[in-house]
Amino acid sequence: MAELLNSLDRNVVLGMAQAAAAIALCFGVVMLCRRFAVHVERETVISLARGLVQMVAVGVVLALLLHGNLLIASLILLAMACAAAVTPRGVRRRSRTRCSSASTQSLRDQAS
Amino acid sequence: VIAVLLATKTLTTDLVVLVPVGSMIIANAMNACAQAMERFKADVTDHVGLIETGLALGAEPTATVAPYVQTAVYASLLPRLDMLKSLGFVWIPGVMAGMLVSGASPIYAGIFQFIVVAMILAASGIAGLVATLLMRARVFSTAAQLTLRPGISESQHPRETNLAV
Repeated sequence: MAELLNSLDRNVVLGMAQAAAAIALCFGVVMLCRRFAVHVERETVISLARGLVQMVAVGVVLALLLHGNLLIASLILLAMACAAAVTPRGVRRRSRTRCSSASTQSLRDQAS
Repeated sequence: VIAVLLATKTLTTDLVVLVPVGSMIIANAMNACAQAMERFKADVTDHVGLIETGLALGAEPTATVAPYVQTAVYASLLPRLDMLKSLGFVWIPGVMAGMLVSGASPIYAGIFQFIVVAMILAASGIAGLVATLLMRARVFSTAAQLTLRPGISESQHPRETNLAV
């Protein structure tokens, strides 16, 4: 715990400020995309939030377990493998939804 | 993107930071460009009939290819969005791993890695969008004819056509 508290030093505060600047830049790009009718707002917000939270979480876990043994490292890698197995499911579902909505739109266009 | 981040002091001007991070951003922007252009080209060549019908009905050339611009930019952004989403859970990327090995604070290393990936996302978005818009300007002749067709190169379809009567 003492190691974790040591990690929360000035560097981390600086890092959060830098992350805020990077997020602001991403939102600028999202607004630019929106101007050309490319709507990625929701996905970008979710991705940025997930990315930041996950990286901080991994940092905290590593700070706590940095001196752990081989068993803990194996458990972490196993959890990563499980997360990797689950992640593409969302992508498949999303692409299927996109395909069906695109085909519906094209049918609607043809009808009109 | 690099200039903005240097101006906001998110990136330092140290060579050891600027060159590796800059190279990652440039390489990913290049990939995004290639993906966006390839997707746009494939979509346009697959939908020549639809686009020409739109043009024949008097639609603006930009309006006829608007859905393909959107899908191309989205396709170029999708790998970066997924990369950001899976950050930390599925993979601990190179920058963080390097910082951890060199003894930096794990939390700061994680935040810095997030910053790098966010910068990659921003650069990819700009690069994909600009590449697609530049390509959109080149797929129509000055007489608003579609010049990008499957199996026909641009030399066979000169941009300056005198077919208008």
